[in-house]
Amino acid sequence: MVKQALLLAALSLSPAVLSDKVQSYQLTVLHSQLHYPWALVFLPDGDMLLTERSGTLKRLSGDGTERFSIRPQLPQLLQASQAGLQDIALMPDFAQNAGVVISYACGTLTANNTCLASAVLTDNGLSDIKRIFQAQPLKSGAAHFGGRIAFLPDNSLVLTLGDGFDYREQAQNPANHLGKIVRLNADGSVPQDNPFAGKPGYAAEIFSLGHRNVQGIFYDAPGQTLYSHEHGPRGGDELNIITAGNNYGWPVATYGIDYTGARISPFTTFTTMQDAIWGWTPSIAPAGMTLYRGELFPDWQGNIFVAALAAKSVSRLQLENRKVVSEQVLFTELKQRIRDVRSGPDGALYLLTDSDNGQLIKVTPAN
Amino acid sequence: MAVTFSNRLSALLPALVLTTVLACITQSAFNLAAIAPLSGGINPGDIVATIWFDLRHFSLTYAPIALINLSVVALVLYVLPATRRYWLAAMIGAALLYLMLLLINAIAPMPTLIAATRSTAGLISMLLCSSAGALCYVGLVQRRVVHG
Repeated sequence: MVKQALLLAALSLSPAVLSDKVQSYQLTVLHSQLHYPWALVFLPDGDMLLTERSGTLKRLSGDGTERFSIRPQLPQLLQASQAGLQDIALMPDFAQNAGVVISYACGTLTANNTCLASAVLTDNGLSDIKRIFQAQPLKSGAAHFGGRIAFLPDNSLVLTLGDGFDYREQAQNPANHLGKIVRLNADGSVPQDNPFAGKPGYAAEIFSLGHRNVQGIFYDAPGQTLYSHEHGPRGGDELNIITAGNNYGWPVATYGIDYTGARISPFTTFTTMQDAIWGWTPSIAPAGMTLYRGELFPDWQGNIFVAALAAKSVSRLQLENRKVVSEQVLFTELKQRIRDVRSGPDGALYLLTDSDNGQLIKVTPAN
Repeated sequence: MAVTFSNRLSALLPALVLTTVLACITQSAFNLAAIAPLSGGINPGDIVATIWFDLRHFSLTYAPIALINLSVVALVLYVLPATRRYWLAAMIGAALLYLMLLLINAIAPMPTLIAATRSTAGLISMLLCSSAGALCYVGLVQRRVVHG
């Protein structure tokens, strides 16, 4: 069911945006009929693990052939609206223990939050599934769970969380996990060098605060920089450089307004709160994100790719000295909400489209 | 003297404007009240600017809600003459808005569409705005009956 199409990249640039030259590429659909695919991770042998929000984990070969499709027995998995199975990441010592971590919404419609589980990847699925973290407090509603995972060089991980939508002011409350990025050890314990560990009135897991709904994060090892992006409301989507202990402003400092048109805050910036390094107004609804370090597209080397749901595209961001200098909007010809974008070990770019008939698409050079 | 459709319509429009303006101010007040403790206070200029912003933007969302709300109130008062009392009209306006908000939140992708209604105090305040609109409508209709 491989369908190939040769397409030229369409440059769709805002007035302030520049690009070096048109990069031609081809899109190959590796797998379709996916039910709201959410995340993709590459295994050392060239296979891929793919999650669907509806609770399915698939293992695919490099050409998209399905090796298994299972519904892991995640403790208290909640499936409703935005809630469901989210990200999966390989533990740094995966080669030794085949360990993975999985994020998902857990609980009930009236008492839920984001959970993290560890498991062992087997030939047929997962074993030893254990919940190792549950964000607190439990809240009502099935919106804004965050859910992206990134490992840091010291083998700790960061897990992005959301504000739960109705609880946005809690993003500034250091005593809980709503609207935070938390840092954990791979077994769920709290690293003792977390920025607020041991500080009275602060949740020890917090790495940064003042976030709305963070659905993209990666660590750039050569640049030693942790990047994340987050959904704004109507406007105010942000790309941030995450530093331990920093406050990223939501909902005090935002360029976004409520979906009703109401002003959330009079402030777009605020002292003691970190400004974004890039933003999108109107919103593009940024979902996954990756740093391209492959060799197939030399012009894309070191660029950030941001999957966008509302904009139905991927934004390619070029950076200089940790500042965005240009943006190129790609893959609009798909006319699909893009849930995730990943840089593959083969140098290709991989996309997940967000629908009940979602696709895994591989992007390679046209020639 | 009978109240014509034109009389009712001319009473509905001021009631709609009043309800929408009050709702915008209420929405501004609750959003600012939530931000104030996080920012160390809001200066008067920002308060005025926020209310003005919401009058221009939030009103576009809220006016259709208020229009449906008050139209149904007017219909109930027309069909059931026994309800044409100030206190009853105010109750009907509030109750109808409450039901509408439940319906909107059930349909909308987000848990609560109108931020002010996230809290009980905000919800009651918005319901009171609807009551004020219903009272305005009844008052204007009664006035047209008296003065022709």
